[in-house]
Amino acid sequence: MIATDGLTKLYGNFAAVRELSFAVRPGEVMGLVGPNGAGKTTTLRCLAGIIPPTHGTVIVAGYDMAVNPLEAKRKLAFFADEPRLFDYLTVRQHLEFTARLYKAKDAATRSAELLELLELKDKADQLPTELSRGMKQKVAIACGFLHRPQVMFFDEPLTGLDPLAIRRTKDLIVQQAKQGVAILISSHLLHLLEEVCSHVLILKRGEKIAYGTLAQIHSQFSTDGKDASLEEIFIRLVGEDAGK
Amino acid sequence: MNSALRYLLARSLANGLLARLKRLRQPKYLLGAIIGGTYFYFYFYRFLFRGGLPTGVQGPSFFPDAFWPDVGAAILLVATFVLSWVLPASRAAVGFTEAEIAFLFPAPISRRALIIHKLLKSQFALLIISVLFTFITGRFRAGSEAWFRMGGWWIILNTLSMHRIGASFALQRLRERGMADWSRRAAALFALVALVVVAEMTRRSLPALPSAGPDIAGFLAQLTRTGPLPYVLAPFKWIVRPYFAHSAHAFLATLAPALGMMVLHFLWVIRADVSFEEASIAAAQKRAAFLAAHRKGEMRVIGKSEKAKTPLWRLRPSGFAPLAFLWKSLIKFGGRRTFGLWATFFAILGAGALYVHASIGQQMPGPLVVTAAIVGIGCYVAGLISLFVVGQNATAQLRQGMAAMDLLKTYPIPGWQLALGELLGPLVLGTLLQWAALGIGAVLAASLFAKIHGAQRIITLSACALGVVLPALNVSMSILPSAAALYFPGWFRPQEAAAPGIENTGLRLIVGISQFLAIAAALLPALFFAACAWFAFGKCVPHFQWQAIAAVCTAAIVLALEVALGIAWLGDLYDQYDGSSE
Repeated sequence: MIATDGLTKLYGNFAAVRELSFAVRPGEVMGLVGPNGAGKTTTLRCLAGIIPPTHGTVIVAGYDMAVNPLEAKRKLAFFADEPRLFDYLTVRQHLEFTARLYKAKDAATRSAELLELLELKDKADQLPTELSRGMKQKVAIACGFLHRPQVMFFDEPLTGLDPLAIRRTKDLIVQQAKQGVAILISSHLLHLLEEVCSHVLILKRGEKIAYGTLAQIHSQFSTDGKDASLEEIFIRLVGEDAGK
Repeated sequence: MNSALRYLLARSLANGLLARLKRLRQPKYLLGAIIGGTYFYFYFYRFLFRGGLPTGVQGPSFFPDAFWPDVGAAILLVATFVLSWVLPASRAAVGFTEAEIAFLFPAPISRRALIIHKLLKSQFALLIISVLFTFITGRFRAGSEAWFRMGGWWIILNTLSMHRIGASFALQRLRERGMADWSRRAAALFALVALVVVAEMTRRSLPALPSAGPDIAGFLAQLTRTGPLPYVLAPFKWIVRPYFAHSAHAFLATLAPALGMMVLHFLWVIRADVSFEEASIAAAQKRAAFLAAHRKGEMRVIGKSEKAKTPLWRLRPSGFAPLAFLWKSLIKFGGRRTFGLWATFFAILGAGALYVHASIGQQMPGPLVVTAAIVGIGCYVAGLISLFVVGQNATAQLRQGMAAMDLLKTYPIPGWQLALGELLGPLVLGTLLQWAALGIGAVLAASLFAKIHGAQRIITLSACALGVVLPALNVSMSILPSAAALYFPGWFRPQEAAAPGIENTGLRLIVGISQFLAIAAALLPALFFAACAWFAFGKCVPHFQWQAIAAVCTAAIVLALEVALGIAWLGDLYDQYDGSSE
């Protein structure tokens, strides 16, 4: 699971994230939404141990990121907004490298499974320069899934993908959640988040302004008895910050 | 070392080399590799590793050998101080690529392992730079010394590189403890000034400075071996001494202290537990943005934010289309402000040149004469280089524009206007700069050679003649490379022009040779007709000045005709361009 308490990230006097506390339990998918500059990527990076928070604790799969970062990181996977691959490693070599990085068990079998699942088998010996963006995204996903993480962080995972790839990525995320993975997704595609998320956390200027299950958010912020969409709720809550 | 990181380094290196070898299947890279390899062999390799130049060619050493390690140590001290402690920003950034950040930062790898990975990864690049520096600094040295020089460079570069990383960590700590950048820089500069003061005090305690000759070497050697300086310079001297070794024995004798310094730096760097992740991410993003811009042909400075620039004039909604392109190019150049700064710079230089000219016949102070000579020579050298650069810049602009060809071809403008428009900005700017340099250079040269009979007249006439033909010459210089870019867009991609490697050096040489051939091709007809005009006019009006004017005007007309034909040809190529075939 993911748990954070009082997470704060300061850049000088500017607070990118302020006093953020929440938890994502195994099998839950939390959507992290907010306008540009709300602190979503900073939050994800702090939680994944990429950058240190200024204050607050981060617990990943039972390990405190500040105390036991290597064990915590062994249990997580982070998917950046752009699939950034090594120029001179083939698809298969990316998987071999990741397996060594995480000391993944049964890596060969798992790699073969993932190459099959993500339709990368034919591309296994190609370099990233020969792949489309969607294919690169699949390679990044395969690398992230390889060590069977208990926690996954997705930063804008659906941007730039074609409709088929969006559907497949959504299915993969839901499938992982069903297998007990705790997932945190940041995205601007609110209607898609509604389809995959069980929980939502809305950030505005680094602060939490709404947090709960989708049903709670709907009941809390819908007006006139009508069930507002997440997009309508988002625009209502974020107000003038939306679209910046 | 972590086995995954070892795997990453080994595989990336092997695959990278393989990819480059595979690329040689393309004729342009094969040709580039052959020409680049030939260039490296004849210009550097045979001198370095085949016994150097013949003994007679090597000049006598002005200073004794013992003098150079002191100088090297002093240079390294200043470089280390300025590059590591004065210039850098406080945030400790270690250079990782975006892929490394994406894979390694969230992975179970310690900071220490990341730093070791970074240091090991930089070895290949440092080795290449060491070889390159050995080529440059050791070309005229005898054979076997090249290896010591290479080893020496590797030690110097490695130590400097680790010192910069270690210093950046230390600066980050100072910042976290509340020390502002300005106070840190002031303290560092104060320390440097204090060292200079100590050196000066030491100098005063020594005998008076000799006027010239090897005595200076002895004096400087004495300076660096008296007072506190030898202690300050000692570690730097340990680092540079292998570079100055003349034999295997001397090299090995100096190796232990140098490697000791490297090990100390290594321990300093890996033992620092400083949070470098955020600054490294920011640096990687900036670098990626720079590379992306570079691939598009935009030479943007890393981290420099663009501000709106004031155009030189207000563009009317109707008129000659290429002028709109020129207007856009001048804004890109920097707009009114940058233009004004350059104009002021040349106005000051021009006023100085006129002052020197007005002082002809009077006794001019020595420093003024030297300054005038330097500026004059600089102007002529800049003018000569610009003959190649202006045309290349114009071609580069046209190639950048080709990235937006889909948009350009939707404009209701004939192809020749598009071509002229793309070339016009760099050509106008380049010609203005050339005219300014030529004018100032000519005034200074005429002043300095005033005593030589007829020199003023020849300098003035040749400057005027060059001024007249320069615009057309610049355009003609850009036509062949531009046509090549439009004919073979896959061959002339700007992003590959600055890439490293022997094959890319070869490609750059091909472009350079093409430029040379272009200037010859453009000049030959012009020179022929100019000579005809000279002799024909000489029969009617046998006066040197009028003959020269007739010849220059004829050359300018011929060049202008060539240019008109060339632009029309480029226009046709624009109209026929089919980027989808590439």
